[in-house]
Amino acid sequence: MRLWRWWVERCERSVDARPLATTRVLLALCISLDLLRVLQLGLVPVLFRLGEDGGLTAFHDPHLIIHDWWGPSAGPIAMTLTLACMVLVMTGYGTRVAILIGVLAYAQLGHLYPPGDRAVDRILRTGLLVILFSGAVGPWWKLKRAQMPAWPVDLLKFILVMIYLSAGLAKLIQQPAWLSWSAQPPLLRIVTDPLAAHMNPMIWDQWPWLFRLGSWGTIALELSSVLILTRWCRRWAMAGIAMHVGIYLMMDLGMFSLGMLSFYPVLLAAPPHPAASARARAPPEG
Amino acid sequence: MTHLRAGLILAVYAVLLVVGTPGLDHLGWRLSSREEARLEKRFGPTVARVGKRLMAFNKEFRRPVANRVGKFQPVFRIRQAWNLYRDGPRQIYRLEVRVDGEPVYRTEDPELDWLAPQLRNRRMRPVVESTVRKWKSGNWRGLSRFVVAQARQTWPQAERVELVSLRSKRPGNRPQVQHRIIATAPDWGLEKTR
Repeated sequence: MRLWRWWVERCERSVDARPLATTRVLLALCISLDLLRVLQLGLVPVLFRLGEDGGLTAFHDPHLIIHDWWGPSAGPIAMTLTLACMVLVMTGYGTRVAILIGVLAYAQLGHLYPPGDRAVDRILRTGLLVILFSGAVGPWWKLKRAQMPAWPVDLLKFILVMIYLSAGLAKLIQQPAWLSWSAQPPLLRIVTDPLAAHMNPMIWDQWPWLFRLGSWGTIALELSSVLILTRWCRRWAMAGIAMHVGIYLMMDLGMFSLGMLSFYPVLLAAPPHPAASARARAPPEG
Repeated sequence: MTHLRAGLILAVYAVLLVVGTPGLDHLGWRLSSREEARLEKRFGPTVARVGKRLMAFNKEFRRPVANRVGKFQPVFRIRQAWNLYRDGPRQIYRLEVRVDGEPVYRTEDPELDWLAPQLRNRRMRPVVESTVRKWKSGNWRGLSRFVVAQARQTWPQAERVELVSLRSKRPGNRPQVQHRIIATAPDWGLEKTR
Protein backbone atom coordinates (compact mmCIF):
# COMPACT_ATOMS: atom_id res chain seq x y z
CA MET A 1 0.00 0.00 0.00
CA ARG A 2 2.85 2.32 0.88
CA LEU A 3 4.48 1.50 -2.44
CA TRP A 4 1.28 2.35 -4.29
CA ARG A 5 0.97 5.67 -2.44
CA TRP A 6 4.57 6.45 -3.36
CA TRP A 7 3.78 5.71 -7.02
CA VAL A 8 0.61 7.85 -7.03
CA GLU A 9 2.48 10.76 -5.43
CA ARG A 10 5.33 10.34 -7.88
CA CYS A 11 2.92 10.54 -10.82
CA GLU A 12 1.28 13.65 -9.34
CA ARG A 13 4.44 15.67 -8.73
CA SER A 14 4.49 18.87 -10.71
CA VAL A 15 7.12 20.28 -13.05
CA ASP A 16 7.66 23.37 -15.14
CA ALA A 17 5.96 22.70 -18.48
CA ARG A 18 8.50 24.64 -20.53
CA PRO A 19 11.33 22.08 -20.87
CA LEU A 20 8.92 19.52 -22.31
CA ALA A 21 7.33 22.22 -24.46
CA THR A 22 10.82 23.04 -25.76
CA THR A 23 11.28 19.37 -26.63
CA ARG A 24 7.91 19.45 -28.38
CA VAL A 25 8.96 22.44 -30.51
CA LEU A 26 12.37 20.94 -31.32
CA LEU A 27 10.96 17.54 -32.31
CA ALA A 28 8.44 19.16 -34.65
CA LEU A 29 11.18 21.43 -36.02
CA CYS A 30 13.45 18.45 -36.76
CA ILE A 31 10.70 16.62 -38.64
CA SER A 32 9.75 19.77 -40.56
CA LEU A 33 13.30 20.65 -41.61
CA ASP A 34 14.01 17.06 -42.60
CA LEU A 35 10.93 16.91 -44.84
CA LEU A 36 11.62 20.37 -46.28
CA ARG A 37 15.12 19.22 -47.18
CA VAL A 38 13.61 16.27 -49.08
CA LEU A 39 11.37 18.76 -50.86
CA GLN A 40 14.29 21.09 -51.63
CA LEU A 41 16.31 18.23 -53.16
CA GLY A 42 13.41 17.27 -55.40
CA LEU A 43 13.23 13.80 -53.86
CA VAL A 44 9.52 13.72 -52.94
CA PRO A 45 8.34 11.96 -56.14
CA VAL A 46 11.23 9.50 -55.85
CA LEU A 47 11.08 8.62 -52.17
CA PHE A 48 7.40 8.90 -51.32
CA ARG A 49 6.03 6.87 -54.20
CA LEU A 50 5.78 3.12 -54.65
CA GLY A 51 8.14 1.40 -57.07
CA GLU A 52 5.23 0.48 -59.31
CA ASP A 53 4.40 4.21 -59.60
CA GLY A 54 8.01 5.13 -60.47
CA GLY A 55 9.37 5.46 -56.92
CA LEU A 56 12.63 4.20 -55.50
CA THR A 57 11.62 1.30 -53.35
CA ALA A 58 10.18 -1.97 -54.51
CA PHE A 59 8.82 -2.75 -51.04
CA HIS A 60 6.38 -1.11 -48.66
CA ASP A 61 4.94 -2.12 -45.31
CA PRO A 62 1.62 -3.97 -45.08
CA HIS A 63 0.32 -1.23 -42.78
CA LEU A 64 0.37 1.30 -45.60
CA ILE A 65 -3.25 2.36 -46.11
CA ILE A 66 -3.09 5.83 -47.65
CA HIS A 67 -2.08 4.43 -51.03
CA ASP A 68 -5.50 2.75 -51.21
CA TRP A 69 -7.13 6.13 -50.58
CA TRP A 70 -5.05 8.50 -52.64
CA GLY A 71 -3.01 6.37 -55.06
CA PRO A 72 0.35 7.78 -56.25
CA SER A 73 -0.47 11.15 -54.62
CA ALA A 74 -0.53 9.51 -51.17
CA GLY A 75 3.10 10.39 -50.38
CA PRO A 76 2.93 14.12 -51.18
CA ILE A 77 -0.43 14.39 -49.37
CA ALA A 78 0.88 12.63 -46.23
CA MET A 79 3.99 14.81 -46.31
CA THR A 80 1.95 18.03 -46.59
CA LEU A 81 -0.29 16.84 -43.77
CA THR A 82 2.71 16.04 -41.58
CA LEU A 83 4.30 19.42 -42.27
CA ALA A 84 1.06 21.30 -41.51
CA CYS A 85 0.61 19.37 -38.27
CA MET A 86 4.22 19.99 -37.23
CA VAL A 87 3.73 23.74 -37.72
CA LEU A 88 0.72 23.54 -35.38
CA VAL A 89 2.72 21.45 -32.89
CA MET A 90 5.46 24.10 -32.90
CA THR A 91 3.07 27.00 -32.40
CA GLY A 92 1.04 25.15 -29.79
CA TYR A 93 -2.38 25.63 -31.38
CA GLY A 94 -4.54 22.51 -31.61
CA THR A 95 -1.47 20.65 -30.46
CA ARG A 96 -3.03 17.36 -29.36
CA VAL A 97 -5.02 16.81 -32.55
CA ALA A 98 -2.01 17.96 -34.61
CA ILE A 99 0.32 15.49 -32.86
CA LEU A 100 -2.10 12.61 -33.39
CA ILE A 101 -2.74 13.32 -37.07
CA GLY A 102 0.88 14.35 -37.71
CA VAL A 103 2.31 11.18 -36.15
CA LEU A 104 -0.15 8.99 -38.08
CA ALA A 105 0.67 10.74 -41.37
CA TYR A 106 4.41 10.58 -40.66
CA ALA A 107 4.09 6.87 -39.85
CA GLN A 108 2.33 6.33 -43.18
CA LEU A 109 5.27 8.01 -44.93
CA GLY A 110 7.47 5.46 -43.18
CA HIS A 111 5.24 2.58 -44.27
CA LEU A 112 5.37 3.94 -47.82
CA TYR A 113 9.17 4.17 -47.91
CA PRO A 114 10.57 1.91 -45.14
CA PRO A 115 14.31 2.26 -45.94
CA GLY A 116 14.18 5.99 -45.19
CA ASP A 117 12.30 5.67 -41.92
CA ARG A 118 15.02 5.07 -39.37
CA ALA A 119 15.23 4.54 -35.62
CA VAL A 120 15.36 8.29 -35.05
CA ASP A 121 11.98 8.70 -36.76
CA ARG A 122 10.51 6.09 -34.42
CA ILE A 123 12.06 7.87 -31.44
CA LEU A 124 10.61 11.23 -32.51
CA ARG A 125 7.14 9.76 -33.01
CA THR A 126 7.31 8.02 -29.63
CA GLY A 127 8.33 11.29 -27.98
CA LEU A 128 5.53 13.23 -29.62
CA LEU A 129 2.97 10.62 -28.54
CA VAL A 130 4.09 11.00 -24.91
CA ILE A 131 3.83 14.80 -25.22
CA LEU A 132 0.30 14.36 -26.61
CA PHE A 133 -0.83 13.25 -23.13
CA SER A 134 1.18 15.90 -21.25
CA GLY A 135 0.41 19.43 -20.14
CA ALA A 136 3.13 20.92 -22.39
CA VAL A 137 0.76 21.48 -25.27
CA GLY A 138 -0.36 25.11 -25.28
CA PRO A 139 1.14 28.10 -27.07
CA TRP A 140 4.40 29.27 -25.57
CA TRP A 141 3.06 32.46 -23.96
CA LYS A 142 0.50 30.44 -21.98
CA LEU A 143 3.19 28.20 -20.53
CA LYS A 144 5.08 30.97 -18.75
CA ARG A 145 4.26 29.87 -15.22
CA ALA A 146 2.50 26.64 -16.09
CA GLN A 147 3.06 23.55 -14.03
CA MET A 148 2.10 20.10 -15.21
CA PRO A 149 2.17 16.55 -13.85
CA ALA A 150 5.68 15.12 -13.98
CA TRP A 151 4.76 11.65 -15.27
CA PRO A 152 5.24 12.44 -19.01
CA VAL A 153 8.75 13.70 -18.24
CA ASP A 154 9.44 10.58 -16.18
CA LEU A 155 8.08 8.38 -18.96
CA LEU A 156 10.23 10.10 -21.59
CA LYS A 157 13.28 9.61 -19.38
CA PHE A 158 12.39 5.94 -18.99
CA ILE A 159 12.08 5.57 -22.77
CA LEU A 160 15.47 7.24 -23.26
CA VAL A 161 17.00 4.80 -20.76
CA MET A 162 15.48 1.90 -22.71
CA ILE A 163 16.87 3.30 -25.97
CA TYR A 164 20.42 3.90 -24.75
CA LEU A 165 20.55 0.69 -22.72
CA SER A 166 19.26 -1.37 -25.65
CA ALA A 167 21.79 0.26 -27.96
CA GLY A 168 24.64 -0.49 -25.56
CA LEU A 169 23.61 -4.10 -24.94
CA ALA A 170 23.01 -4.72 -28.66
CA LYS A 171 26.55 -3.51 -29.39
CA LEU A 172 28.08 -5.78 -26.76
CA ILE A 173 26.02 -8.86 -27.64
CA GLN A 174 26.61 -8.63 -31.36
CA GLN A 175 30.14 -7.23 -31.44
CA PRO A 176 32.32 -7.92 -28.36
CA ALA A 177 35.16 -5.91 -30.00
CA TRP A 178 33.53 -2.80 -28.49
CA LEU A 179 35.43 -3.66 -25.30
CA SER A 180 38.50 -5.23 -26.84
CA TRP A 181 42.04 -3.99 -26.09
CA SER A 182 43.45 -5.23 -29.38
CA ALA A 183 40.76 -5.70 -32.07
CA GLN A 184 39.97 -2.98 -34.58
CA PRO A 185 37.53 -0.64 -32.76
CA PRO A 186 34.00 -0.81 -34.20
CA LEU A 187 33.72 2.95 -33.68
CA LEU A 188 36.60 3.44 -36.13
CA ARG A 189 34.79 1.33 -38.73
CA ILE A 190 31.58 3.27 -38.18
CA VAL A 191 32.96 6.80 -38.42
CA THR A 192 35.26 6.03 -41.35
CA ASP A 193 32.61 4.36 -43.50
CA PRO A 194 32.49 6.74 -46.50
CA LEU A 195 28.87 5.85 -47.19
CA ALA A 196 27.73 7.22 -43.84
CA ALA A 197 30.51 9.35 -42.39
CA HIS A 198 33.09 12.04 -43.14
CA MET A 199 36.26 10.75 -41.49
CA ASN A 200 38.95 9.64 -43.92
CA PRO A 201 40.00 6.03 -43.18
CA MET A 202 43.45 6.63 -44.69
CA ILE A 203 44.17 9.17 -41.95
CA TRP A 204 42.27 7.80 -38.97
CA ASP A 205 43.22 4.14 -39.34
CA GLN A 206 46.57 5.17 -37.86
CA TRP A 207 44.95 6.25 -34.60
CA PRO A 208 43.03 3.14 -33.45
CA TRP A 209 43.62 3.83 -29.74
CA LEU A 210 41.66 7.05 -30.06
CA PHE A 211 38.62 5.14 -31.30
CA ARG A 212 39.19 2.34 -28.79
CA LEU A 213 38.78 4.95 -26.07
CA GLY A 214 35.77 6.28 -27.92
CA SER A 215 34.28 2.77 -28.15
CA TRP A 216 34.69 2.23 -24.40
CA GLY A 217 33.26 5.68 -23.71
CA THR A 218 30.24 4.99 -25.90
CA ILE A 219 29.51 1.69 -24.13
CA ALA A 220 30.06 3.28 -20.71
CA LEU A 221 27.69 6.11 -21.56
CA GLU A 222 24.98 3.90 -23.00
CA LEU A 223 25.09 1.35 -20.18
CA SER A 224 25.12 4.09 -17.55
CA SER A 225 21.99 5.68 -18.99
CA VAL A 226 20.03 4.45 -15.94
CA LEU A 227 21.57 7.52 -14.28
CA ILE A 228 18.94 9.50 -16.18
CA LEU A 229 16.48 8.27 -13.57
CA THR A 230 18.61 9.56 -10.69
CA ARG A 231 19.88 12.90 -9.42
CA TRP A 232 22.90 12.42 -11.72
CA CYS A 233 20.68 13.03 -14.71
CA ARG A 234 22.07 16.45 -15.65
CA ARG A 235 25.68 15.28 -15.46
CA TRP A 236 24.89 12.27 -17.60
CA ALA A 237 23.13 14.58 -20.06
CA MET A 238 26.28 16.65 -20.51
CA ALA A 239 28.17 13.52 -21.59
CA GLY A 240 25.23 12.55 -23.82
CA ILE A 241 25.34 15.96 -25.50
CA ALA A 242 29.08 15.52 -26.15
CA MET A 243 28.44 12.12 -27.77
CA HIS A 244 25.68 13.42 -30.04
CA VAL A 245 27.69 16.49 -31.05
CA GLY A 246 30.56 14.12 -31.90
CA ILE A 247 28.26 11.97 -34.03
CA TYR A 248 26.93 15.09 -35.75
CA LEU A 249 30.44 16.29 -36.63
CA MET A 250 31.84 12.94 -37.72
CA MET A 251 28.91 11.38 -39.49
CA ASP A 252 26.32 12.20 -42.10
CA LEU A 253 23.17 10.85 -40.51
CA GLY A 254 20.86 13.75 -41.19
CA MET A 255 18.75 14.67 -38.20
CA PHE A 256 19.78 11.78 -35.91
CA SER A 257 21.86 13.83 -33.49
CA LEU A 258 19.57 16.85 -33.59
CA GLY A 259 16.53 14.64 -33.02
CA MET A 260 18.13 12.99 -29.99
CA LEU A 261 19.34 16.32 -28.63
CA SER A 262 15.75 17.58 -28.85
CA PHE A 263 14.98 15.41 -25.82
CA TYR A 264 17.74 16.91 -23.71
CA PRO A 265 15.82 19.95 -22.39
CA VAL A 266 13.86 17.55 -20.19
CA LEU A 267 17.11 15.96 -18.97
CA LEU A 268 18.66 19.32 -18.19
CA ALA A 269 15.58 20.76 -16.47
CA ALA A 270 15.23 21.18 -12.73
CA PRO A 271 13.93 18.06 -10.93
CA PRO A 272 10.18 17.91 -10.16
CA HIS A 273 8.66 19.47 -7.05
CA PRO A 274 6.97 17.19 -4.53
CA ALA A 275 3.23 16.76 -5.14
CA ALA A 276 2.29 18.62 -1.97
CA SER A 277 3.88 21.85 -3.14
CA ALA A 278 1.54 22.33 -6.05
CA ARG A 279 -1.22 20.21 -7.47
CA ALA A 280 -0.51 19.60 -11.07
CA ARG A 281 -2.57 21.66 -13.44
CA ALA A 282 -2.23 21.36 -17.16
CA PRO A 283 -2.54 24.59 -19.14
CA PRO A 284 -5.58 24.87 -21.38
CA GLU A 285 -5.28 23.56 -24.89
CA GLY A 286 -4.69 26.33 -27.40
CA MET B 1 -8.99 9.82 -10.71
CA THR B 2 -5.38 10.11 -9.52
CA HIS B 3 -5.34 6.38 -8.71
CA LEU B 4 -6.80 5.49 -12.09
CA ARG B 5 -4.22 7.66 -13.82
CA ALA B 6 -1.39 6.18 -11.76
CA GLY B 7 -2.63 2.70 -12.69
CA LEU B 8 -2.75 3.54 -16.38
CA ILE B 9 0.74 5.05 -16.30
CA LEU B 10 2.04 1.92 -14.60
CA ALA B 11 0.43 -0.18 -17.33
CA VAL B 12 2.18 1.93 -20.00
CA TYR B 13 5.54 1.35 -18.29
CA ALA B 14 4.85 -2.39 -18.15
CA VAL B 15 3.90 -2.57 -21.83
CA LEU B 16 6.98 -0.58 -22.89
CA LEU B 17 9.22 -2.75 -20.75
CA VAL B 18 7.80 -5.96 -22.23
CA VAL B 19 7.89 -4.86 -25.88
CA GLY B 20 11.32 -3.25 -25.66
CA THR B 21 13.24 -5.09 -22.94
CA PRO B 22 16.85 -4.03 -23.47
CA GLY B 23 19.08 -6.82 -24.74
CA LEU B 24 16.53 -9.61 -24.99
CA ASP B 25 15.74 -9.04 -28.67
CA HIS B 26 19.23 -10.28 -29.51
CA LEU B 27 18.91 -13.55 -27.66
CA GLY B 28 18.22 -16.58 -29.79
CA TRP B 29 15.41 -19.03 -29.11
CA ARG B 30 17.51 -21.62 -27.35
CA LEU B 31 21.10 -22.48 -26.43
CA SER B 32 22.51 -25.40 -28.35
CA SER B 33 24.43 -27.88 -26.21
CA ARG B 34 27.63 -26.69 -27.88
CA GLU B 35 26.90 -23.03 -27.07
CA GLU B 36 25.98 -23.97 -23.52
CA ALA B 37 29.24 -25.87 -23.10
CA ARG B 38 31.20 -22.93 -24.49
CA LEU B 39 29.41 -20.51 -22.16
CA GLU B 40 30.02 -22.81 -19.21
CA LYS B 41 33.67 -23.15 -20.05
CA ARG B 42 34.15 -19.41 -20.39
CA PHE B 43 31.98 -18.00 -17.61
CA GLY B 44 31.11 -20.95 -15.36
CA PRO B 45 27.99 -23.06 -14.82
CA THR B 46 25.95 -20.34 -13.09
CA VAL B 47 26.16 -17.94 -16.02
CA ALA B 48 25.33 -20.76 -18.46
CA ARG B 49 22.28 -21.69 -16.37
CA VAL B 50 21.12 -18.06 -16.13
CA GLY B 51 21.58 -17.65 -19.89
CA LYS B 52 19.51 -20.74 -20.57
CA ARG B 53 16.70 -19.59 -18.28
CA LEU B 54 16.75 -16.09 -19.76
CA MET B 55 16.31 -17.57 -23.22
CA ALA B 56 13.47 -19.77 -22.05
CA PHE B 57 11.81 -16.75 -20.39
CA ASN B 58 12.25 -14.73 -23.56
CA LYS B 59 10.81 -17.46 -25.77
CA GLU B 60 7.97 -18.67 -23.60
CA PHE B 61 6.83 -15.49 -21.89
CA ARG B 62 8.21 -12.19 -23.14
CA ARG B 63 7.93 -12.63 -26.89
CA PRO B 64 4.37 -14.05 -26.88
CA VAL B 65 3.21 -11.28 -24.51
CA ALA B 66 5.08 -8.62 -26.50
CA ASN B 67 3.48 -9.81 -29.72
CA ARG B 68 0.06 -9.55 -28.11
CA VAL B 69 0.36 -6.20 -26.29
CA GLY B 70 2.55 -4.59 -28.94
CA LYS B 71 -0.03 -4.61 -31.70
CA PHE B 72 -0.46 -0.84 -31.44
CA GLN B 73 3.13 -0.23 -32.60
CA PRO B 74 2.76 -0.56 -36.39
CA VAL B 75 -0.11 1.97 -36.44
CA PHE B 76 2.26 4.68 -35.25
CA ARG B 77 5.35 2.89 -36.56
CA ILE B 78 7.02 3.04 -33.16
CA ARG B 79 8.49 -0.43 -32.73
CA GLN B 80 10.48 -0.30 -29.50
CA ALA B 81 13.65 -2.04 -30.71
CA TRP B 82 16.77 0.06 -30.61
CA ASN B 83 19.72 -1.58 -32.34
CA LEU B 84 21.54 1.64 -33.03
CA TYR B 85 24.86 1.34 -34.89
CA ARG B 86 26.31 -1.93 -33.70
CA ASP B 87 29.24 -2.09 -36.12
CA GLY B 88 30.65 -0.61 -39.31
CA PRO B 89 31.76 -2.36 -42.52
CA ARG B 90 35.12 -4.16 -42.43
CA GLN B 91 35.91 -2.97 -45.95
CA ILE B 92 35.60 0.42 -47.58
CA TYR B 93 32.75 0.78 -50.04
CA ARG B 94 32.08 3.67 -52.39
CA LEU B 95 29.61 4.39 -55.15
CA GLU B 96 30.88 5.82 -58.41
CA VAL B 97 28.65 7.13 -61.19
CA ARG B 98 30.11 7.33 -64.70
CA VAL B 99 28.50 9.05 -67.65
CA ASP B 100 29.92 7.92 -71.01
CA GLY B 101 32.89 6.51 -69.09
CA GLU B 102 33.68 9.73 -67.21
CA PRO B 103 33.30 9.61 -63.41
CA VAL B 104 30.91 12.35 -62.24
CA TYR B 105 30.22 11.18 -58.70
CA ARG B 106 32.22 9.25 -56.15
CA THR B 107 31.28 8.86 -52.48
CA GLU B 108 33.06 11.46 -50.32
CA ASP B 109 35.05 12.88 -53.22
CA PRO B 110 34.72 16.68 -53.19
CA GLU B 111 35.74 16.91 -56.85
CA LEU B 112 33.18 14.38 -58.08
CA ASP B 113 30.06 15.63 -56.37
CA TRP B 114 27.35 15.55 -59.03
CA LEU B 115 24.06 14.55 -57.28
CA ALA B 116 25.91 14.30 -53.94
CA PRO B 117 23.22 16.10 -51.85
CA GLN B 118 20.59 13.68 -53.11
CA LEU B 119 22.67 10.51 -52.81
CA ARG B 120 23.93 11.51 -49.33
CA ASN B 121 20.49 12.43 -48.02
CA ARG B 122 19.67 10.33 -44.98
CA ARG B 123 16.54 8.89 -46.59
CA MET B 124 18.36 7.91 -49.77
CA ARG B 125 21.52 6.64 -48.05
CA PRO B 126 20.20 3.19 -46.94
CA VAL B 127 19.30 2.36 -50.56
CA VAL B 128 22.69 3.56 -51.80
CA GLU B 129 24.41 1.50 -49.09
CA SER B 130 22.59 -1.72 -49.89
CA THR B 131 23.05 -1.25 -53.65
CA VAL B 132 26.79 -0.72 -53.22
CA ARG B 133 27.40 -3.47 -50.66
CA LYS B 134 25.09 -6.24 -51.81
CA TRP B 135 24.73 -7.92 -55.17
CA LYS B 136 21.18 -8.88 -54.26
CA SER B 137 19.97 -5.55 -52.92
CA GLY B 138 16.23 -5.04 -53.02
CA ASN B 139 16.05 -1.53 -54.43
CA TRP B 140 18.90 -1.32 -56.96
CA ARG B 141 16.48 -0.89 -59.86
CA GLY B 142 14.76 2.11 -58.25
CA LEU B 143 18.07 3.79 -57.41
CA SER B 144 19.48 3.12 -60.87
CA ARG B 145 16.35 4.46 -62.57
CA PHE B 146 16.66 7.65 -60.51
CA VAL B 147 20.37 8.17 -61.25
CA VAL B 148 19.92 7.44 -64.96
CA ALA B 149 16.99 9.87 -65.21
CA GLN B 150 19.00 12.60 -63.49
CA ALA B 151 22.03 11.96 -65.72
CA ARG B 152 19.95 12.15 -68.89
CA GLN B 153 18.49 15.42 -67.65
CA THR B 154 21.96 16.86 -66.95
CA TRP B 155 23.64 15.41 -70.06
CA PRO B 156 20.92 14.98 -72.74
CA GLN B 157 23.50 13.64 -75.22
CA ALA B 158 24.70 10.88 -72.90
CA GLU B 159 24.60 7.32 -74.20
CA ARG B 160 25.81 5.28 -71.25
CA VAL B 161 25.38 5.64 -67.49
CA GLU B 162 27.08 3.32 -65.00
CA LEU B 163 26.68 2.87 -61.27
CA VAL B 164 29.86 1.22 -60.05
CA SER B 165 30.28 -0.40 -56.64
CA LEU B 166 33.86 0.03 -55.48
CA ARG B 167 35.27 -2.06 -52.67
CA SER B 168 38.69 -2.02 -51.09
CA LYS B 169 40.48 -3.29 -48.03
CA ARG B 170 41.14 -0.73 -45.36
CA PRO B 171 42.28 1.97 -45.45
CA GLY B 172 40.63 2.13 -48.86
CA ASN B 173 43.34 3.31 -51.26
CA ARG B 174 43.05 0.41 -53.76
CA PRO B 175 39.42 0.24 -54.82
CA GLN B 176 38.27 -2.55 -57.08
CA VAL B 177 35.03 -2.89 -58.95
CA GLN B 178 32.68 -5.21 -57.08
CA HIS B 179 29.75 -4.94 -59.45
CA ARG B 180 28.24 -2.42 -61.82
CA ILE B 181 24.84 -1.44 -63.15
CA ILE B 182 24.84 -0.24 -66.75
CA ALA B 183 22.17 1.61 -68.69
CA THR B 184 22.68 2.39 -72.38
CA ALA B 185 20.78 4.40 -74.97
CA PRO B 186 18.37 4.22 -76.64
CA ASP B 187 16.22 1.95 -74.46
CA TRP B 188 18.11 2.63 -71.18
CA GLY B 189 17.41 -0.85 -69.88
CA LEU B 190 19.34 -1.81 -66.73
CA GLU B 191 21.97 -4.53 -66.75
CA LYS B 192 23.86 -5.68 -63.65
CA THR B 193 27.29 -7.28 -64.06
CA ARG B 194 30.16 -8.32 -61.82
